[in-house]
Amino acid sequence: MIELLPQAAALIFTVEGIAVLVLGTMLGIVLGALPGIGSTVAVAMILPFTLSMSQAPAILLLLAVYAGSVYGGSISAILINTPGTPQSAATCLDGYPMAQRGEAGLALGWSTIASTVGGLVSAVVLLLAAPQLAALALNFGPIETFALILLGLTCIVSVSEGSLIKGLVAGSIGLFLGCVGGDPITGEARFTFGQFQLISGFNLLAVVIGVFALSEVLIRAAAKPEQDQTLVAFKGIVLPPLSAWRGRWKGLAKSVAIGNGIGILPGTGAATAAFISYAEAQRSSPNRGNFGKGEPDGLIASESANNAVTGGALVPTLALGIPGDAITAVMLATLTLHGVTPGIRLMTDNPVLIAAIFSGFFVINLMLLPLGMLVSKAAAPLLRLREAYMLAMIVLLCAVGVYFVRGNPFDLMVMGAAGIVGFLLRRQGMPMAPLVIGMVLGPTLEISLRQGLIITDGSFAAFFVGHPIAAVLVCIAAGMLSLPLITKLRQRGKTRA
Amino acid sequence: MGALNERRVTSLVLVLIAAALLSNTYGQQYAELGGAFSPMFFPRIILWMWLLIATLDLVAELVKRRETDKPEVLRVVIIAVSTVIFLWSMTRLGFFLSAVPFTALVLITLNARNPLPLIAVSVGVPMALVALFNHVLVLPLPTSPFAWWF
Amino acid sequence: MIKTLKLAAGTIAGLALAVAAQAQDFPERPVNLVVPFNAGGGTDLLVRGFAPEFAEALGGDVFVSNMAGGSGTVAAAALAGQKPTGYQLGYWSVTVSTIQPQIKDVPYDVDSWVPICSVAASPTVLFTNASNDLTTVDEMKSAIEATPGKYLFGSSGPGAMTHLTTVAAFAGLGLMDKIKHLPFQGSGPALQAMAANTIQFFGDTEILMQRGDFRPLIAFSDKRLENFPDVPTATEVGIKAPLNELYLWGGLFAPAGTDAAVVAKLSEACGTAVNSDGFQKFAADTQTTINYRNAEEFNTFFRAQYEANSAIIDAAGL
Repeated sequence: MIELLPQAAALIFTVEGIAVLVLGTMLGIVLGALPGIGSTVAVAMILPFTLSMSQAPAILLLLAVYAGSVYGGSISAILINTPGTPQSAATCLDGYPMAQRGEAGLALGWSTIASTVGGLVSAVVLLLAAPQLAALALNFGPIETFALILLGLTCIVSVSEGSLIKGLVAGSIGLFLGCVGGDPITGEARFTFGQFQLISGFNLLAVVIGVFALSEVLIRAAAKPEQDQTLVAFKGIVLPPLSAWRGRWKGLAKSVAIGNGIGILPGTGAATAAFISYAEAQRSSPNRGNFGKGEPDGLIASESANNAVTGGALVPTLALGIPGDAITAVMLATLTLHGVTPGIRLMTDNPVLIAAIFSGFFVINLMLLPLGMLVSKAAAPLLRLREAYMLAMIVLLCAVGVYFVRGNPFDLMVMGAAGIVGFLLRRQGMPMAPLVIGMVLGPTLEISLRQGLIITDGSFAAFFVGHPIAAVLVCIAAGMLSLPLITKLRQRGKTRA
Repeated sequence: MGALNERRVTSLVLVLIAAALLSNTYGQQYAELGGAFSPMFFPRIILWMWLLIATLDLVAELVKRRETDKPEVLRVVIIAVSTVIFLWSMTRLGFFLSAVPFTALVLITLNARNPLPLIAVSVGVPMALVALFNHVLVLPLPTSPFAWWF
Repeated sequence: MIKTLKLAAGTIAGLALAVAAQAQDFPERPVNLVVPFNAGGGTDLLVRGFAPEFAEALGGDVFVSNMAGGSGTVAAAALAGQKPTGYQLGYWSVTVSTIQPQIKDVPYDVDSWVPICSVAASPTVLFTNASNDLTTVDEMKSAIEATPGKYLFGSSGPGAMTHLTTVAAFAGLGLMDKIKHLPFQGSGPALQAMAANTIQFFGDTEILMQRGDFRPLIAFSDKRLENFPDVPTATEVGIKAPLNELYLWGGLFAPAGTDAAVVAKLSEACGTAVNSDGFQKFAADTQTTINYRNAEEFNTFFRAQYEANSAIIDAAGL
């Protein structure tokens, strides 16, 4: 692959190629920052424009929009507590508290650097080892996936700031919400209570935006009015000084590895990666006590992981011709449109094109920093508006975003209800992140568990015989679950004594 | 205020919802295929967990009385209700016609009384969004039943 | 209230849109093609490739919108409840229009639509991993009979075309009680499981099969496939009607009650668009098998399919 780089560079560094990369990344950032537009809609919007382009620029444009939108989602997550995409939900946890503290610029600085590093490393990994990794991913069957998701769920414990019990209640509610709709095995409608709209379940983004953004608007409205207050103070991205990185490198490296690894697996996705990485950082970071209160380590964990997923997700797509998610499916479709047959022979038949895609992806990630600064600079004046105007506009944007997710009027009502319920639960001190985690991971947990049981003829014990990866993952999950409980009990014992 | 306060009521409601949903899984006519094939296999695990933890939470709330700060009830209710109405009407009356009165109402409720920016924002922002999405990006927001272009 | 508003708006703005569109003036405003799945999927791509040609043939603007959920039923239900103006058309696949209404409680059925035209149709194929030693249907049959419960077939979800294809194959061969079904969420994860040999059989269109290292076993078409002349048709291996022919087709539908002249105009424009050079090239590039039927032919075909598919649905136990 490396020996093809000069040829690949010739494909990328043309006027059209560079224009496509710059404009695509910029557009991706803007669209990603608008709540609800998200990666899938952004990529689909761009699709018609690629029809008239030649192969390489067409794919590069889609990639640029994709990578840009994943990063862009963090901007609104940090500034207005509204994740632009589900994968940025974990970014809210520490990003928004930092912004409230008046460090919005710095928070964006951390997230930008983390995103860039995550993306760059995943591009290098793609370039060096895509076929090998794709083969490795095939070892991940339903049983291994089940174990991995179980591990992911343990982060509910770590994101339950305040009350562990309330966090677990929120997590159960989230898991339950994920069950509503057609049964994944039999297709029967569950908990729809005659509402045919519910057959497809609650839309994830509608619930996420409701419980994070809309409930925040209500909480703000419920607080005592303060005149001429702005929501957050923000002038532009402030890059953290190199010295501030001390002690954070290890966490960054680990998060990038987690993002890459999970991105390769089919059907898990960036939101899962961000949460698992966040949980791991909270377990091992030297600053773990500050998580949830605006700790840069938390931001680094989620942002580097979700951007690393973008590269990882391309591995099975390009190496096996099997799309991991909706976005990579669009890319495969675009390849077909341009006369390239996706499939296991893709890399052998079109080595230069693939090398160009990989290296273009590297260039895109390099541009996240300057373009991100530009976009957030432009967005800064908007944030200086008075709180009342901001709140009204957040609701409008949420409505527009959720409408575009799939054009379904019912989703808008779901968002409204989620906002009001989220407001009531948050007043009681219940954290909303576990609810979202439950809803993100629940469906995959259920289908992988039941698929596993079908394979083993209903024996749960057989999950761990002949599935060493699964056994190891479940052990780690058990450890992560019990450790904080033990520490908490000990602390309680000490304070009582 | 007696034994009930907002926190306790919320916790109690959560317990009741879990119990109701759980009893629903046993009452309904689902195909009893047994084990992993039953559609209720996984939800029952989750609902039992929810019920158990929510009960613990209720006990914790009852043991130690904690109060929430007093909210601006009127403002919250106005904004919540108008948001729901806006979300409902936006796919029926069109985005623009629903967004303008909604934005104005929210701004007035939140004490924005200066008429010029109030009108500018409540008309301008929806107009800009419609222009952007319906006419520039051709990714249309819902339009009104009166004209296709807004 | 809404009526009053409507009148008021009509007078004040001078918009003459309350007047029903006359067929000769059609279209007076952009026509909306509704895709019942998320943007970016195969169906979405096809409709977006078709829209510009359709617009040109119609002499107006055409835009595509997506409304996903419930395997396409959410969009179909929404459109079924719309006024039949001819300005909103849905691109429904075989599953949305003939299968989902028979397995789910949805507010539309076979009589909710005026079919406009069919655009594409590809037969489905049962295939297996090329690395295993099942090369013919007979070998497959004896292997499954020898070890009941060992083999698994996958699908992209219960009730999907991938599910019905495998069910038609194994029910048609009398093997349903000796093989297990493992549903996935979408074709991607299922194909990956196929490559990993977690599942052994999957059924989809020829195009999807060619993406991986897979071996076709049965073609669900009336005659052998051009690209795979050695693969027997379902009828040849002893699968009886109506399980022997399965096509993944799609076409445009308008809500029932649409003005006949408007339907004729749309159907004709659709024919021009399907046969245009631009769409032919698009179809060749995306390996879409074009299959145009005008409003009348499509109506007959659609109703026949609705009946035939109920047999497969019974076999699948949905």
